[in-house]
Amino acid sequence: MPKAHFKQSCIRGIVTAVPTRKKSIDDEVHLYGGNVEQIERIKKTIGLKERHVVEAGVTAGDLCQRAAERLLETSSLTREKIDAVVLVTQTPDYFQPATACVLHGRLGLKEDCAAFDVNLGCSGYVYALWLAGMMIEAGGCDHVLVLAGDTISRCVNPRDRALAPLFGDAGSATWVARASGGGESWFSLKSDGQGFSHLMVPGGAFRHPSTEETRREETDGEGNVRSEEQLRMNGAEVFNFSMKVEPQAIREIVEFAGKSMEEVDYLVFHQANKYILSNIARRLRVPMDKVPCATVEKYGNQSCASIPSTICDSLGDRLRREKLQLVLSGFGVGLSWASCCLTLDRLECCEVVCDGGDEPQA
Amino acid sequence: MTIEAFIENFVDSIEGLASGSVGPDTVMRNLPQWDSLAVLTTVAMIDAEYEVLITTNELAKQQTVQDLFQLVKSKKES
Repeated sequence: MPKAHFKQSCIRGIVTAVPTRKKSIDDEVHLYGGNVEQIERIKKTIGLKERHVVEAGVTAGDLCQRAAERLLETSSLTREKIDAVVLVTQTPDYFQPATACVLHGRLGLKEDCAAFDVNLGCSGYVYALWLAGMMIEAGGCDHVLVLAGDTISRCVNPRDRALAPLFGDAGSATWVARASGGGESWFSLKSDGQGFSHLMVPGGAFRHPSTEETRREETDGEGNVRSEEQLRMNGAEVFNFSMKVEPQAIREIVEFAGKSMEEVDYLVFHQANKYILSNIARRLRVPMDKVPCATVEKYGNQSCASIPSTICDSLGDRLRREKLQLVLSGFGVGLSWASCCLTLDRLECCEVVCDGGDEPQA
Repeated sequence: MTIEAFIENFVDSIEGLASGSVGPDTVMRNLPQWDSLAVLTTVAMIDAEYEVLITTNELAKQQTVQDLFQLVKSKKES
């Protein structure tokens, strides 16, 4: 499998921006068929409460911009230092150009700076950290700005109870820098493209361009409404995939890093939902206090931003003061999954700001 | 593995199901809580507790909790 061991790069700061606006499944029972008992069971089983979602017209780029500006305000990173921008999203501002280029302009970064997008979701944050690590190890970059954000709430049909109550929006900014010492990290990256159709938006791009047909809403056998241009998921398949690959991926990365599970302070997973995380932990025989999962009830499943959001929200206070050994792991759309083992040590900033996403920035 | 423990795990795996309301002869699809989510959490419970993988199709063919118990038991022993 593709593995990497980096010795010269480390994370110096992380900021996550979430929208102010909150939605709660409790206010939406009428949209999901009105079966109160069923919604209550779904809430308790999966662990759903509230989610933060953008106002109309606000993009992942807007949220990432807010996070990046806050990162620049609260750390010693300056615009002149940034050698590259890697932006992970599945909800770009435009088909062309890359949102990374748009933000390069909006953030006022220098010309000697690489900028490109990565189209991945749940696994995307770990992939982008891997890219940043390689760019630093290869020698060309000293400071890489990793932006990871999505507005999946804009891809789901409001009357789709299988998906609409799950997703929140967020944008994050992570500063990866050349380390003067002690910046070891280990990565592993994996894919199963044969499962691509289990989680996808089939229409609206170039395979099935937007037509009246792709925009037409249809009701499935369970009473959920969606069009071809909206997200669809085979929940059972995605769940089985997660159970099959994640426990194994975690054991492998911990072993590859030469550590024991006891040496890992926290396992920070992509926050799919509480049920999936507790099932992974159960199979790994890891206690739940090592698996932060409070953010999914608070903000929703934030796609590629869920790992940085959870680091900021659940571990931010400690990470500004002390050193923690973490394993990060993202899994989902692709199908794609990626894990890393790294140390975060007294970050210059590590917080969630809840004032993004109120209006478009461009 | 015993049917008593299996019933306890079965009840635990489905939100809103009261212990005492399920016996070996309970027909699963007659439970008001039996929906696609309950199917998923039952399959996950069997995987986690008994290390047996059953498909949702296999589960759909079982009538009673006792039938499901027998299926898991035979798979575990084979």
